[in-house]
Amino acid sequence: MASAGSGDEKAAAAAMITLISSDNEKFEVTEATATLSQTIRHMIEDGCTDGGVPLPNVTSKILARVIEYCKKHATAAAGEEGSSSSFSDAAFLEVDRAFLEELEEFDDAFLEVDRATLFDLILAANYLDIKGLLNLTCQKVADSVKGKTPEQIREMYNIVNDLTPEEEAEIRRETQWAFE
Amino acid sequence: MADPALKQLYEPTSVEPSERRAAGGCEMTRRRCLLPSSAAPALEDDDILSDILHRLPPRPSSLPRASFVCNQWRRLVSDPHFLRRFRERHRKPPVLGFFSQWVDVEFTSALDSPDRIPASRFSLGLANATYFQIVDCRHSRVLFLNRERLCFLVWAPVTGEQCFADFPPSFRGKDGKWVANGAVVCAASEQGHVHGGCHSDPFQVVLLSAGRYGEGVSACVYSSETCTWGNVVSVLLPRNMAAIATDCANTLVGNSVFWFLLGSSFGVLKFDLHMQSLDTIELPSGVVGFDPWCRTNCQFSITPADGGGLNLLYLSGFNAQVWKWKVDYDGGAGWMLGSSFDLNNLLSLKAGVDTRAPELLGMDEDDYTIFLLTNVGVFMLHLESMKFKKLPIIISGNFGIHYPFRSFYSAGLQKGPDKQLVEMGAEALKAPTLAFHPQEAAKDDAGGVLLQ
Repeated sequence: MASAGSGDEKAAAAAMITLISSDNEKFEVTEATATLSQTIRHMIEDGCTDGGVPLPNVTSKILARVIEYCKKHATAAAGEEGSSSSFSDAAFLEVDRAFLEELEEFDDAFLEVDRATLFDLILAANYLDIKGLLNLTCQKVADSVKGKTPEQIREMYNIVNDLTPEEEAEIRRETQWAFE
Repeated sequence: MADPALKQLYEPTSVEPSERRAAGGCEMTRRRCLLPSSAAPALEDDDILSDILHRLPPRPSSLPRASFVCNQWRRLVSDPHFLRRFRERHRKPPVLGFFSQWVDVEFTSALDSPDRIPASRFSLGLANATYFQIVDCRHSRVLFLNRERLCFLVWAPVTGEQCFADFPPSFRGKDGKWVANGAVVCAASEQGHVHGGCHSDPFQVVLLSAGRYGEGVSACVYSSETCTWGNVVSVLLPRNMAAIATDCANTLVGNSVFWFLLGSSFGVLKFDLHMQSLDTIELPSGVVGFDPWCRTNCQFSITPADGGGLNLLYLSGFNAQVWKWKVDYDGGAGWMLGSSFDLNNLLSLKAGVDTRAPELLGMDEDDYTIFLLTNVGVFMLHLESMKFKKLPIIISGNFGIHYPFRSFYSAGLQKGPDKQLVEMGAEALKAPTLAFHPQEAAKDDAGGVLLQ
């Protein structure tokens, strides 16, 4: 894996991409890291990245976190690809499991953020089309809603209840048991 | 917004986010360069909120609760595209509870509050419901036979829809044949269809009729798409198997439905839905004291095996055996004892000499799971992993078959009891025969009596 991994790194080092946050901060990342974003992948394919990629929707604080996520997952993906050609099946599975465990630990720690940051990460993942990050962050919000009453959900996320009393009565009539 | 690229960018779409963003080419380049510089907060974006909400667990309270948050949430979770994605993501709907029948059909929830759906929510609402005998429950629907009025009823409890149709002419008792059993299966043909929200998809009903001893059995399939019956398929039973068991649940394994056959020996009747063929299989001779007439001492069930095979579960007292149907390379086939276990030990029942043996209440063919009524409560036992769980339900008096009801529960699907239509159905059933005969109807006429 070592030789395959360093080969990938060399190839990636040749192609660096500059990402520019909304507050004009520049981030140099490898192409392998940047292409976890489908949006940027398409820009690279279209030759649209000379002079840097402006990301007017993403602040430097959030972009730094997004890059942290992409670096980790791009490294893991490169590691998996490299290992498949250099290891026996049993060793490959072992390495694979270790990768997955490490990634899970990383993801858990990555999600230890306040609510505002979590929603900013969702917006960035959606804008940049990073499937893994969008899955991870959306699941975190879904888990926080799970088992909560509508009142608790509204309070948690400052949602204004715009249902009319008639609409509320209709929902309650159909599914009263779900609120008990 | 004259520019079509701009128009496309700002127009809401219902496609997957990745599809939305991943189109290639020059147009996309232009669109990307024109991405708006400020995005709406995450929860106000329908696509993102939808991504979040379809990750809610498939518990029945999830979507009704979400629909009560605000109008945006309500609109999203009632959207058919959302519901399809929700089903596709979760793949397997939960067991909401059981349908059983002592006199009237009853629903018993298998879940704790707030997912405990009350029995009144799934009420058949027919005046003469006792004439309808429950014989099957699958893919969000329940099948009843009315042998008095020679018709079947297919009921979708979540939406309340009811569909009646007469038995086919040759199954109407004229030549001594009577309808012994039946099965209902979803007939959705779309690729990747996930069962559990099949209310609006077409279905098929397989009816089995048995004649006098030695005459064999016949099967006929009703299609809700064409509202017609297919050809009658028949098979002679082996001499030692006289009848189709009427108090046993059938099982769908792959494309085939299996029923039990009774007689001096015991067997299984197989109907292949694709091939439209009937076949019989003898039960293993190694099963000692097998007495399917007596449900309290011996009980049995055909269950799917991991990998698409066929298993036979046999209970005798506290002992359980799982037999596996094995097909050799040379085409020979037979039963092999797979495992044997003691339910008293496994479930820690602490049974004494007088303890009543576990009753096989029902079987869930989608999860290799059986439901057992024991002296200490109802257990759900997974036959592959042998993991079990005690369910929060009490069964008293009705020890008949409990048909597990697996379904997703979506808010706003219930159409509400439409008094007039229900009465219309009941009125039709009071007549000597049903008011509507699909097989005699004009081609462009709607078939069956579809209520609501």
